[in-house]
Amino acid sequence: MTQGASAGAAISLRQTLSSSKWLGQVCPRCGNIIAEGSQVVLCPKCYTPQHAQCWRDAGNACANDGTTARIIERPGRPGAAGAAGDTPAAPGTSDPGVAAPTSPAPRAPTPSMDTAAAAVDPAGAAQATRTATAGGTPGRPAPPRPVPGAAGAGRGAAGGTTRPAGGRPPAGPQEQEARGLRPKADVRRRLEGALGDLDPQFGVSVDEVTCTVPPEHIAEAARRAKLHQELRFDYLRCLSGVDYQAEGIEVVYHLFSTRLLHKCVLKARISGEGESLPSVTGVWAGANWHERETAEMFNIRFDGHPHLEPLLLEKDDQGRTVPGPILLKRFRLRPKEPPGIFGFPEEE
Amino acid sequence: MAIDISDPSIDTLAPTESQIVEERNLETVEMTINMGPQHPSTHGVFRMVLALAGERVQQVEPFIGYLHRGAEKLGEAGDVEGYRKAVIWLDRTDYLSVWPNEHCYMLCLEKLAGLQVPERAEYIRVILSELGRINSHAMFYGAFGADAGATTPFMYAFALREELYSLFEAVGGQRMFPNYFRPGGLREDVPADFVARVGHVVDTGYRACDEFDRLLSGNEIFLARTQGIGVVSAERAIDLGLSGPVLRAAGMPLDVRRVEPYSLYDRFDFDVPVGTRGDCYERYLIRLQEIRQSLGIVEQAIRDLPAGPIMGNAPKALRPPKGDAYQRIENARGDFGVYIVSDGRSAAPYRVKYRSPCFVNLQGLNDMVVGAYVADAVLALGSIDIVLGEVDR
Repeated sequence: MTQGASAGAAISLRQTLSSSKWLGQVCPRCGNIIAEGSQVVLCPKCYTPQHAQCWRDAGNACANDGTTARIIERPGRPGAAGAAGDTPAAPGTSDPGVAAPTSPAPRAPTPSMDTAAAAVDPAGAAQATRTATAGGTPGRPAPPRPVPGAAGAGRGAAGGTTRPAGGRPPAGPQEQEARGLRPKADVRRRLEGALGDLDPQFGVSVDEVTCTVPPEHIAEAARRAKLHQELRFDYLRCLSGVDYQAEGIEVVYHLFSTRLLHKCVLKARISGEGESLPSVTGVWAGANWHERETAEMFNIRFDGHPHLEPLLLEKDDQGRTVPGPILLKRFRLRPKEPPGIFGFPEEE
Repeated sequence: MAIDISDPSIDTLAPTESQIVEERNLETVEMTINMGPQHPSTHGVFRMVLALAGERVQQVEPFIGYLHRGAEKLGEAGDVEGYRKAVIWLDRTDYLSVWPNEHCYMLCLEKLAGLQVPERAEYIRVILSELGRINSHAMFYGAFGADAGATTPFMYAFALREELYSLFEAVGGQRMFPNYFRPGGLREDVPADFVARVGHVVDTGYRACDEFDRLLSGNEIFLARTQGIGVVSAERAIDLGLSGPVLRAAGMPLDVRRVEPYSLYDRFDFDVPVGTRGDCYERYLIRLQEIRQSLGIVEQAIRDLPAGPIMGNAPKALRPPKGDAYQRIENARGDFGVYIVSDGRSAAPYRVKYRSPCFVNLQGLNDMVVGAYVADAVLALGSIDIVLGEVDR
């Protein structure tokens, strides 16, 4: 690609997402609305968003004020993600105020960036200079924003569905086989054979099969995982808790078989803190301390554990842990985020 | 040169064969004593409450958490580039051998995000991980000798460690917590004299191994104190989830680098020392032998170290796709694992869990210590080779 004239400034390619601030603004060079999935750049001086191709066509310069900068081209990179937590620009507040619109008509959102760049209105492209300001021209009706796939308000449906594709790589990590161990399909077949009547739901965690069972069945599932001759999961690698807030607290058991050399993940989800699920210390003695730690950090209980006392946290005179459980997500260390796919509670 | 302890010409002090020492039924008192958290032999802030009958341990209850810093929760912090920043906690979990833990976190993150790492970066990571393993085992050697009452090995161990720390400072800018690995590669390239320095360290390491052996491995007091102590059977070890030299001493040849190879370990030729009896002495011998094997891996890696970039195409603000991944590696202490859950949107992990081997290995303390003398309890604990930063996180 051609490099910019100036040696100094360099700007990144940005992918337009449904959460991008510049979604729906008008590119000052071609006059088209910036749709989701298109690649844009932001001018380093006036921050006007414009299509990356329009930037290059203008000689690597901003169509607004002429600032030159070169685009950082990284081969194989899908494009920098938009800033987190963006709220979509409210219509009209940051409307650049199309000066001489020849085609302000909204276009249907096009998922591929090539289509967006190619759909340049030739008449609009002739309008090289615009008096677009951040404040917008009062009284000018705002062009309607193209509505992304999911209906307006949400970040996607509750329940953790993937976001609209919009030119990004597929959501979900790439799958691969575990090195040196049995392939996933084989492990899954064995798990289905052994745990089929316990209502398992299968998934994949990059290089291992995950099997989610209802919490009341987890002890039986663990027992079968260890003793069933096709599974022989005699080694508990790890036992963790994950707080999914409104969707419950999940206990994740990472298993390994020293005999058959394969691995898998068992998961069980309970509805929230204060709940309990059966302990697996009868199956793997090494689960003892793992469960103690998970119980104290997430404020859950493991029924049947021989000695469910706090392990890492301090206890007060009544035996309660001081401070309260710390790994629950509501004990926040991060700034406020809008309600998302996990149904984060509203911050006060 | 290893000591062959079955050689009959080595005269070990065996009380049961002596004609002078005999077991007599003495009147003993039952008492409960507290060891720690401040104690020279607990290897950090670790507390054991021992119920004794005379000098024999009837019950032991370990108390941990004195070094608990909430590392897993703090790994979720960071509103910008939180995934990169969480690696500082991996430095501070196992602070004796820093590099394998950083390596594990990076491998897990790269697995989850689908990042490619250039060859040169991976070779340097392996070299540093193995040097970190040597660093930790040298520390074990010094501390274990001190537990048994020998104070000189400590100095020899630290002479080797000083060489390693100088190298780590040259590479990462800091001796103990270099924060050098990045998702997709390394923070910056190694200094120009890296290969020469590592070669020098390897030579020093081989000489140091011979010195360590000469000092301690055939010492009859040391043999009497460590042989037959702290035995755990292989089946019990698997049930408890033990790993590392503790498990291999019991006879199970499980080394993650062999069983589930990660990074470049399937390219290197190295042996995995395995014991038969599962006692403290065998764990000690295994760790000394592992130093030699690690030096061999470093030699091979330095010989094959390619030129090239040290950073792949990782975006600066890394946002892995929604999902979870678990990666385990062979730490100096055993099977270290990192479990990362990503929600696909945040700059920091949604949940990061560190499966630390000595946290799990400490569950074997009960099996090792009950029925033995208090002095043996100290050595059994030392042979597990705990580091409290990893136990407590």
